[in-house]
Order: sequence, then structure tokens, then C-alpha cells
Amino acid sequence: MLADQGLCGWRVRSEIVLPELHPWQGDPAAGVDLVIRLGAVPDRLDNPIHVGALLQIGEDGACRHEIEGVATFHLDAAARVITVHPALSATDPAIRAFLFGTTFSLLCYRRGLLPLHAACVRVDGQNGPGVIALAGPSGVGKSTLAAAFRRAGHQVLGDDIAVLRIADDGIVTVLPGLARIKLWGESLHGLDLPSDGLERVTSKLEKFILPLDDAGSDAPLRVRTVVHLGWVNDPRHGEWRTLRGMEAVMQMSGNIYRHRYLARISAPGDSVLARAARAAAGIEQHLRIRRVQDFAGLDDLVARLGGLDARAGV
Amino acid sequence: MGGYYWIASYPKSGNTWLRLALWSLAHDGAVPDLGDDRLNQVPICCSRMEFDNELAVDSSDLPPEQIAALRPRFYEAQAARSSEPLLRKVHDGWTLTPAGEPLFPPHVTLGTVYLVRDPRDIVPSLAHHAGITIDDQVASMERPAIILAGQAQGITMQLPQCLLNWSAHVASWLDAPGRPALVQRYEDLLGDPVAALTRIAAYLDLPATAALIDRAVASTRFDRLQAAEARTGFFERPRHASTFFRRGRAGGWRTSLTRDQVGRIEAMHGAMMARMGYL
Amino acid sequence: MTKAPAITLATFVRPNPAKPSVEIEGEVVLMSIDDGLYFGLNAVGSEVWRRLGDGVTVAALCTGLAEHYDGDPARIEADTLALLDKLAARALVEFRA
Repeated sequence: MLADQGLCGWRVRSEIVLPELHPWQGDPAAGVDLVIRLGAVPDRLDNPIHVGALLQIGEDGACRHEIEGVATFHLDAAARVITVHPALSATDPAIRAFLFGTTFSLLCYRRGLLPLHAACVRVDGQNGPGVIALAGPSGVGKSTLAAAFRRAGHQVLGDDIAVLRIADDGIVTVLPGLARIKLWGESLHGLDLPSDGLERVTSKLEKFILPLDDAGSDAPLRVRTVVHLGWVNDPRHGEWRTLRGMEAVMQMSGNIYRHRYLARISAPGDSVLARAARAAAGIEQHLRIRRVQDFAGLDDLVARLGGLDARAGV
Repeated sequence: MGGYYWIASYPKSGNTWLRLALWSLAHDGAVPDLGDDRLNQVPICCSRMEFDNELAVDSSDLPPEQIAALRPRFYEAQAARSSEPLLRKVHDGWTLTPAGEPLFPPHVTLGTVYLVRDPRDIVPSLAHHAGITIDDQVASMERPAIILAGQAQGITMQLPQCLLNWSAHVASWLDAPGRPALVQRYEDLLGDPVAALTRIAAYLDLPATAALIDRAVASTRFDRLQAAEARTGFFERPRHASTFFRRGRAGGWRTSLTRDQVGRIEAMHGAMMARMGYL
Repeated sequence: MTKAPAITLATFVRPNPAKPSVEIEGEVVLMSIDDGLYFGLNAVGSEVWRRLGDGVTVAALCTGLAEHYDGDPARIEADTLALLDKLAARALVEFRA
């Protein structure tokens, strides 16, 4: 049996080796919060409320996600057990890439949390340590920007899904997540980082896993700023501005990972919409930044964002 | 259940003009603001974000052949959720997926507007757009297919697309099963844009009076778009091209291509050029 | 409390407690969870919302706003009633005559 590991503060017992998690450092007597096991997964869920090409959702909240040639994942109705039926060797990194995508986001949501499509970096301002969430769709450059923060000496807390907890008092924290950044060859090259010795996400792609030794094991940190990233071709169309009210909430809900499917598993009165709005209200600063995607401008962007004190404004 | 109208073309064949004119048609003949990326009456058919959201998967972790195999599922799911016809810009050829089924499923296709342009005029225009030499562009159009937005070393906001060579591209769409494509020559569109837009609006089943068509054509005249681009920039201009709206005319190849370059294009694409009335 | 067909200065108005609201950088967003919709208020609308508190008469609300903005009371009254009408149409506020 593998040693227990920690994820989002949960004690995880996995039959699959998960290098992106840290050893469990919490109470040795604590119960196991999440089991990841290998086993068979049914072809069809009972009483499905959604049957898509890849994803099924059951009336009871169970989920089935199938990536052909990689694995099928099943999340049980209690959101305590993930069953993985691999189509590859169980140690293939592609399995982890998809496990920590849709299935993980549904699990987090079922546990009352909010998965934001964002990388998180730590910035220590006058108000103490805080986190900047770099949010946006795939391809917008979240991971590359996070890696640029890391190169500038900032701690990176995760590169793709930021698991947010909204406390009763409205404070929003990010839970310790996966200790890795997934980077394309182009980004490694642009950041002058070597790809030698790095594991690939899958043997078929020039996409690598950069392990983070210093992420993941810390206590939850407060998210002070969320940056909603976008891209432009022409610098004249670039933007850097503070979002208020409706705009901040719309950007937030648009960047909730898999929001369309989370909406399908929401309990009455606790919609994705409501959680996104409460999360937005608990974060002090909302920025919309749209820029030309080039490596040359990254260091300036890091310096400008890293120098922000949450309340100092821009 | 909705379905798709594909606005298909080889690049630099009038697709952008038509999309702006369709935007204007839907907005009472207004002049499009080229600096505004929300101005997208006809989004690209291969938006990575839409694909990921629809199928609940990160395409950035999938190999290209698996993305291609899933694209019909993406279109089916999106069409099933939509009650309105969906207009999508396409540069892919009409091809089969690695699983052997049509990339653009006929059962969710309402029709296709296919824009075609003399390849001798595409070459200088596309070379400028892509920031490469004319000879390299001629050579690129001799290859059986090239991949747009490929993810060899990184990804873009678009999924990888398979651009067949010019002749094969035209043939693939003209010979696709289902309702025959409405073929619109770029040259005729320049010569009589009102007639072209009237025909296209009728094919797409868009309500458009003659007065509205006139306004949309006036609002998207080439010199106006060029002036607007000079003023505000165009959101879709590629980074390495100085301008998007460059010349907007037919027959420029006579002065911008060498005899050798013309010969190579005609040798490669002569049969289809003749079929389209260019030879 | 019930919805009133016509809002007057004497009407007592309060936020519908079943419709949560949040405020970000001075602008209020109201949520209609059942419909899956957000309603954003601009800076002035947000000021009106804050002044609703736990409930207030329309007359008191308008007097306060006229002082705050130092504006034409008739104009402020008309704008406030129009906004309350919109909010009422979406059941974001409740009334008592």
C-alpha cells in the first residue's frame, strides 16, 4: 500500500502513484477523506441526468468520465471514492492529467468548494501573504505566466485548477493543490527552462510536467487578487483595468472550471452562480488583463503584478 | 435542435469580409468596429474553449488525432443545445476523422457557403498574412495538407485544423454530401457585392431587405475597412502581418508573381482553376 | 409582505431576503438563483440598494438620495421609482403599502 498523501487538506489514500501530491502531514490519526482506487467502472450510470460523449452524471451525483485510450473515471455518489479503470499502464502520467481535470473539479464542487480555472502564485504584500489567481481559458497562458512568477522567485501553488473555499465570513482561500506546472516545449524554451529529465504529460505531446517542490503542503492562503487573462494580437487592444460589480462576477463565473456541468450537480439554492458571486465578493481585487502573448513581456507583467499590494490599486 | 451553416474557405478568400457583412446585416447595417473582438457574428468552428466546455475535457492534454475524432461529438452536442442555426467559420477541408466519419456531421449541417478565390491571388495575400516569402507560400500550397494552429510545441485558442491544399480543399467542400454548398467566387463578390450578399442571405435563410443589404455592403466597403483598420487596428490581424485588409482586389498576381511562380501554381492547381473559371 | 401593483412614496420597500446580493468595488450584483441570472446595478443603483438596508419608505429613500447627490428631488424620485419598478418585476424587492 502506498503512503497516504494530502490534497486540499484531505487525507488521500491512492492505489495510483501521484507524484504531484505531498505526503500526508496532518493528524496521523485522521480518517481517510478520499480514496482513489483501481477497478471496474460501469458503462452506464443508473438514472443519468446527463449522458454526453465523455461525461455522464447520475441523479445521485455520481459521475463517469471516459477518455478513450487513457482511462475511465468514476466518482461515487458520496464524493469519497474515485475509481480509475486505466486503458494504459496505471502509472502513465496521462491518467493523472485527466483525473485532476474534470473528475477532480466535480469532486471539489460536490464538497462545497469552487474550482477556478486558474494558476495561483504567492505574493507577499504589505497586508501579509496573499495569492494572485491567474484565471482564464486553456491556451491563454496561465501556466506560462505562473512559471515566469516562479522564475522571479515567487511560490507557485498550482497551475490549472485553483480550489477555492469560501468561508462563512466571506474570506476566500485557495486550498493546497497539485505540486506541478504543465508546460509546453515552446513555453519552456521561451522561459529558458530545460526540458531534460522532465516527464511528459503523454508520450504523444511535447508537453512536460515541471514538479514544484515548494507547493502544495502549506495551509490555505487568502486570495487577494484575481486576474482574468485574455489575449490580443494588437497591443492597441490590450487592457489592464479593475472590474467592478457585474463585470467581476461575470468573469468569475465564466472562469469556473466546467461551470456548465457543475451547474447540473448543484443543489437548489446553492448554484455555481451563487458560489461564483460569493467568491468574487470575497476577493479584494479583480483585474482584467489582455495582452499580446509574448515571452518578452512576461517579466514586466510579473514585476507589475508582484509589486501590487492588494489595496494599493493600479 | 439547431444545426450549422459552415462559412468555409481557404484562407484569404473573402471569409472575413463576408463575416463582417453578416454582422452588419444582423445589426441593421451598422459599421463594424474592427477593434472589438465581441464582433463575431460567425465564430471559428474550432474554438478550444467551446470544445472543452461542451465535452468536459481539456483538449490541451489530448493528441491532435483524438481531438479530431471528438470534433463530430462537439458539433452534435452544441447543436443539440441550440435552438437557432449556428454560423461557423471554417478553414478545415471537408474530411473524415481518424475514425472514418465526417468531421462536419451531415445530420447537423444546414448548409455551406463556400468562398473560392483564384489561387494566384491567394499566394501573395497569404504570404503577407503569414509573414513568409511568396516562394515558400507557393511551396506550402503544393503540399497535400498543412496543419493550422497545430500543437507541436504549444497551443493556441484554436484547435488544430487540417487545411488541404487549394485544389483538394475546393473539391472536398464542393463534393461533400448533403445540401450542395453555395459557391461564391471572391472575384464576383468584389464585382457585385450586393448581388453576392443577397444570394448568400437567401441561402442562409436570413431576413434581409434590399435596403438592408445595401447598407451592409456600404458599411463593409473595402476602403472603409482599410481606413477603420488604420484607425483602430483589426482584432483578427495576425501579429506578424502589418495589416489585415491589404489590397482587396482581383488580378494583382499579374504584377506580384514571377512567371515561374505562376507556372508552378497553374501546374499544380490548373484542373480545379479551370473548373472554377480561373483558366 | 406582498408585491404592490403601484409604488408610491408611502410604500415601504425592502430587499427580498431570498435573493442574495454581493458588492464588488462599490457595485452591487443581485442574484436570482432560481432563474440562474445576475442583475448588476451601476454606481447610483448600488447606492440606492445600500440605502434600502432592512427596509425603508420610498419617501425616506428619495429624501436621503436627494441630499446625498444634491440633485433635483423630482428627478431623483422619478429615477428611484423606475429602478424600484424594475427590481420589483424581478422580485428582488418586496413592498408593503
